[in-house]
Amino acid sequence: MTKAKLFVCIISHEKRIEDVLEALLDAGISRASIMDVRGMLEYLADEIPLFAGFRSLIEDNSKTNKMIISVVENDEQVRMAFDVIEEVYGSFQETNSGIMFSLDIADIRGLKL
Amino acid sequence: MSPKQLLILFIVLSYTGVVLIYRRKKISLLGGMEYLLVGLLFSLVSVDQALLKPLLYAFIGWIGLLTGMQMKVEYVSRLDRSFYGRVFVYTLVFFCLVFAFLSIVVAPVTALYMAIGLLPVSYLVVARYCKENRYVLFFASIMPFVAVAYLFFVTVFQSDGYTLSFFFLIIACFAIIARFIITNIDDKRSIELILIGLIILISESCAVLNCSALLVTFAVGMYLANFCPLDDVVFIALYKDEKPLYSIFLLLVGMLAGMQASFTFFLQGMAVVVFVAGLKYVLFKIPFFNMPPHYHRYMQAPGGFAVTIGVDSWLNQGVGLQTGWFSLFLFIVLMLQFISVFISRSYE
Repeated sequence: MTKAKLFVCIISHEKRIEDVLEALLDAGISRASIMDVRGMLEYLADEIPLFAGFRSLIEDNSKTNKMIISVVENDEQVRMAFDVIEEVYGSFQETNSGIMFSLDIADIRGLKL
Repeated sequence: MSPKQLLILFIVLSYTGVVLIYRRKKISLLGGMEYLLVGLLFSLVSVDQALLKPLLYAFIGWIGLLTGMQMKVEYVSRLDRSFYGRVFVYTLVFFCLVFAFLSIVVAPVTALYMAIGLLPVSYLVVARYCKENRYVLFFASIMPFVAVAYLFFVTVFQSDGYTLSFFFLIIACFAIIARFIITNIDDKRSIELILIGLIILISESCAVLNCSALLVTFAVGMYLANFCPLDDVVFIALYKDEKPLYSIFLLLVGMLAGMQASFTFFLQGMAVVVFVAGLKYVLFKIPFFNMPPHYHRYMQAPGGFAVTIGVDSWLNQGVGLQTGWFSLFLFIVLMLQFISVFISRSYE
């Protein structure tokens, strides 16, 4: 098991993605991948709703979510990333704002930390 | 055949047929009404139907809760006032026409009004689900709530003070109980079991108390949507098996309602269908409503919510299982659906 962590951040306000990326740069995280992801409700909304038409339409108005993943060196950097992102993006305690978490990395290839 | 065997058969039919009928973005033009037709055929099967009738209350409760869960203030406030004004005017036209024509509001009229008056664009929604046409889609999606509001108005109109107070008390009690239970469950994975229990409790209580399960669960859903922190989780759990559950519901409705085989019955049904076509033709000629002037859209098919309203009205009447007006109502719904398909195919 390495000390490196996989940092994962999913934000639902996609317009804020640049603020978040700049915050990560300030925290010393310069390598990251960004993906478009969709929430479960949005995916379900692809089905033609019978009774849930109103909600599926309303929620379809809101954008794609953005997922940022990055391999960071250690726990400390993960916590720093959490803090700087919350400073620019806002609290993740609010409903439908997003989620952040980290995972342990057992082995790593193609990256020198 | 025993009720249990029949129910198992319905579940199998529903889950196997759902792939064919509700294909993603290619939903059948009949919008699932095939199951209603199959249900009507099952009415010929000899089974103790009284044992299956309580299930209808549970399905109505589920639909009411699912619909109510969408009435979040945050969502409703995103649409502008001019849109709601247009919806109000559109429904008011039908409202006045029905009152002027029939001067007495009873359950069959209520249900028929919902089916033929308030859900005219459901065919558009079902057959041509196109996210670019958002105005029409939103218009169609608002209609069930208008229907519920009308049903609520009818209930208030027909109730005395005591009954009305009792009705509101039931809603308040169930809303608070539901929120308390959902908020305090430890294991969120058991939310579906909790919801099944709640829906059965509320809807069967409504059956015993002789009040509308649809209205009560709708109000409970509205309360949960706005005041329960787990509203998203609840909504996903309710929405997950929407189509199979709806299919089983239609099978049960068709089987329990049955269909009369008489020429008079057929004539009555066709008279209503022709009246509807004429009414909608007039409506589509009025530019204010901004409906596309394509002829085949005049014959709008009622949606699943129309059937739901009809069943709720029928159950609240407390009459025998095979009631004439409800069979007529289903006949009209099916005829409108078939005619919509026929005409749209002619124009495609």
